[in-house]
Amino acid sequence: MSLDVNPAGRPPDNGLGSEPTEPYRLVALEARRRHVGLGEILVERAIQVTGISAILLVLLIFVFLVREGLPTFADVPFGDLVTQRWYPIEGYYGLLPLIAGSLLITIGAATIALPLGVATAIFIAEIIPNWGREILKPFVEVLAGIPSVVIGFLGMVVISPLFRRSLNIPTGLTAFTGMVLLAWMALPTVVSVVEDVLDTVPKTYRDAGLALGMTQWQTIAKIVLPAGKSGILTALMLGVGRAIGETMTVMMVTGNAPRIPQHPFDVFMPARTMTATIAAEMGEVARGSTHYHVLFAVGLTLFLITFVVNLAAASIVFQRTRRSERMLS
Amino acid sequence: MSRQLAQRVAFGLMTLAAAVVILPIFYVIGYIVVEGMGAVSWGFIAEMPRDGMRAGGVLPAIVGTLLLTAGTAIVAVPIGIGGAIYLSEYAKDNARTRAIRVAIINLAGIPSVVFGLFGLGLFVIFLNFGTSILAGSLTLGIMTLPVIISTAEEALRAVPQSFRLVSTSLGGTRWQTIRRVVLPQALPGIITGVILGIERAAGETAPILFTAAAFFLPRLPSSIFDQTMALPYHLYVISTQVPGMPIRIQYGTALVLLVFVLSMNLVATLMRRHYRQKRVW
Amino acid sequence: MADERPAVKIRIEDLAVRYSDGTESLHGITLDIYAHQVNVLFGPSGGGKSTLLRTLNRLNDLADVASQQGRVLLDGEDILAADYDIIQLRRRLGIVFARPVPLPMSVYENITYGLTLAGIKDREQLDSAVERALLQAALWDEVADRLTESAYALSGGQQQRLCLARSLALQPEVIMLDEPTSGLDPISTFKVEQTLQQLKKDYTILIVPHSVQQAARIADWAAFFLQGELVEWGSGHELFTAPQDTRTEQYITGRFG
Repeated sequence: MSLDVNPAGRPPDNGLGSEPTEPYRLVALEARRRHVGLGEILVERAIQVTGISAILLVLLIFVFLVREGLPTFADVPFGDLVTQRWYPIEGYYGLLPLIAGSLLITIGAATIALPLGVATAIFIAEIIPNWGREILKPFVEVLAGIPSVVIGFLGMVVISPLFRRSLNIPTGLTAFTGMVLLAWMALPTVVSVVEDVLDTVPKTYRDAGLALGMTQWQTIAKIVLPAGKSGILTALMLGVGRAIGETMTVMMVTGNAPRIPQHPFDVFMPARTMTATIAAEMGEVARGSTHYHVLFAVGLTLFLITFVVNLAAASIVFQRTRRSERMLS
Repeated sequence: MSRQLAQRVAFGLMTLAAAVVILPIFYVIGYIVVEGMGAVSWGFIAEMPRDGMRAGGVLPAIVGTLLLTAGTAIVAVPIGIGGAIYLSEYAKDNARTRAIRVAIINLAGIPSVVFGLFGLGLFVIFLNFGTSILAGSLTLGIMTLPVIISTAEEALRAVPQSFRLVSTSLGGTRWQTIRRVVLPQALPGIITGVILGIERAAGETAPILFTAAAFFLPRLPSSIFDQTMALPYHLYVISTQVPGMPIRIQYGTALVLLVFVLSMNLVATLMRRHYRQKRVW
Repeated sequence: MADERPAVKIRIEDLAVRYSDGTESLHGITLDIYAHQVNVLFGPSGGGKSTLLRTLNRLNDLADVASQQGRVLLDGEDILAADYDIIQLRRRLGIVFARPVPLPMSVYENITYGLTLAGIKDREQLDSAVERALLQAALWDEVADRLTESAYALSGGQQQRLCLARSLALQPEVIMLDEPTSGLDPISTFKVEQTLQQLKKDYTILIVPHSVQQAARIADWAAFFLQGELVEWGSGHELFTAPQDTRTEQYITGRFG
């Protein structure tokens, strides 16, 4: 058996054109390829760098928060930080009321936002017909776009007087006002995440439920929602992350009194969050002072809390994709 | 039939919940439009503030917000699109890629006021840019990155894999394939994401509190190292820090800010709809 | 026997490919592809035919390939070698996929796409390349006055011939077709098959047909693939009239597959 190899590697003229159109190709390609190559290498390098930019930035943020926040522990004994009095002008740096305020308002907002958000998502994804969905979805996105300072402003001039009168309390600028507005602001996040999850539950699950004689609601409650459980948890986490980091609205409507709630009715009293404290006080402190470093330490604390919350949310998401990949293969 | 009844009750509750969420959106927008209309005039938009901001217009705040928005775009768009291209076209499913995704999720979750602290520490103090448009734009740009990366990546991934295969089979390198086929097809989606990200930044107050914002400036900024007024911060200032502030000026400022931000939102939504109908695949 | 055989264009030696997820793979493939012949790869789906095509122009580099062994010699050069110029390779081995995939641009831009990637800008060269490619793909008469229209405005059969023309515009040496007529009506299918007979004068054809009947109609040389193995190969005439292996016989007589 002979191995006939065509050394030119080319077929004969194709007979369609009178001139051989062959040579232009090889010459032109060789001439240009190297040039394209260099530009490409540069572009691809740049893309690689931007690719890891997110990691670099998170690290950079962490480094600067630590750099400016760490001196706190040289200036203020740790024991003094875990006290109940925040009064920086006289050197009291007790962080507990700020942490308590943030937790109270965040938990309250999440408690309101989750059921409302899940219900709204079910309404949008399962109940109304397609054309209604097309109209409502952009509107929920519009809510996400309203600046928090606008909501804070309306909270001050409209909502809090309303609460003061209808609840008959001394001031409308309370933790409760903050919770309600924050819940409302966290809703776009919750709704869109839950809705995505409901979308990914296979139609066959629903059909199976309906085929078994279940009503549409039973199918949603017994099959679709349990299948989307991890997604709802993700939505909760992201909603919490959003609420705990919200600044302008809470600063404008919660009254900003740094006190630890002692009694359930204290939700109708003013409170103060970590975010509002930083925003309100950083503008007036001297750079490098103890107060300045403590505010950075508060920021570092916030960073770490949201980091953990979002990491938890992310790990749920990753678990879910891994599982669905297994199911598909 | 109690099962039917249960369904009716449940659906009724869901509908109510949706109404509680959605109707206030109309209310908020409508209320600000109605209350703010009276204050907004050509002079309100085009004049400097007078009498300790209690009269006159909001021109410097509008200009400042425009500058900060443009600055944000300049910082965030190239990095964000680059990052999205990396994730969609280059990244393999490995530890590094997972780390990037975790970092993006975390970056998106960092409170805006913490971005402000970071900007203060790095740009204002460490790099010595001072309280300036530059420092504010960089801070807002970094804050906007995760939104742009995520939406742009989604748009890139939506481009059918078969186009990449065909382009490659015709002798296209990876970058040629991206530039000639993938990017043009993903562009409307990317622009939509960019607008939504920038819109968010335009309405932010906390990140610029200590990095760019000025309480009051008698003139317009003349360089990127100048401080600037900005609409959201101005609204905060006149509604909490200035005693005796006429309420109609507050509503007017809120209206201008809302129109600015929501018109970007509208453009993005219309664009997305338009291109979705137009595309062939 | 050896003397009767035409020149070898591609020699595949003991090729094995395995994907990371364990799906469709190839093992121990040794096969010659002859120049200026219609070489047919056939067999039930999942047999590794598409994998083989995509290995030949290294398109599989994009896929999740776990391991790849053996040699593939194109004109005597091993294309699997690490430093082989893949871009050049893909220009030499054109491919047409099962489903027509026009790029989202005009008919003209589709055909010139590969050429402009290679840096050719001269309008006259591009124009003549378009005309030649469309003539060869038997599409010129139908689209000559529609060159600026979107490629998606063409019918399914026209789109598939456009994809063929797009590959031909690069003047490749080998045209690989992966079930090119699977989505087409009988008339369009007939046109494509006729075109192939014309094309083999200038090109080496390597095709995965979409049916045994088509395989038998067009094959000069045929190779039967079953679950990643090459069961047997030989001239089309011999293989379809007197198969050596019972599995081949069972398949072509329609007892499975």
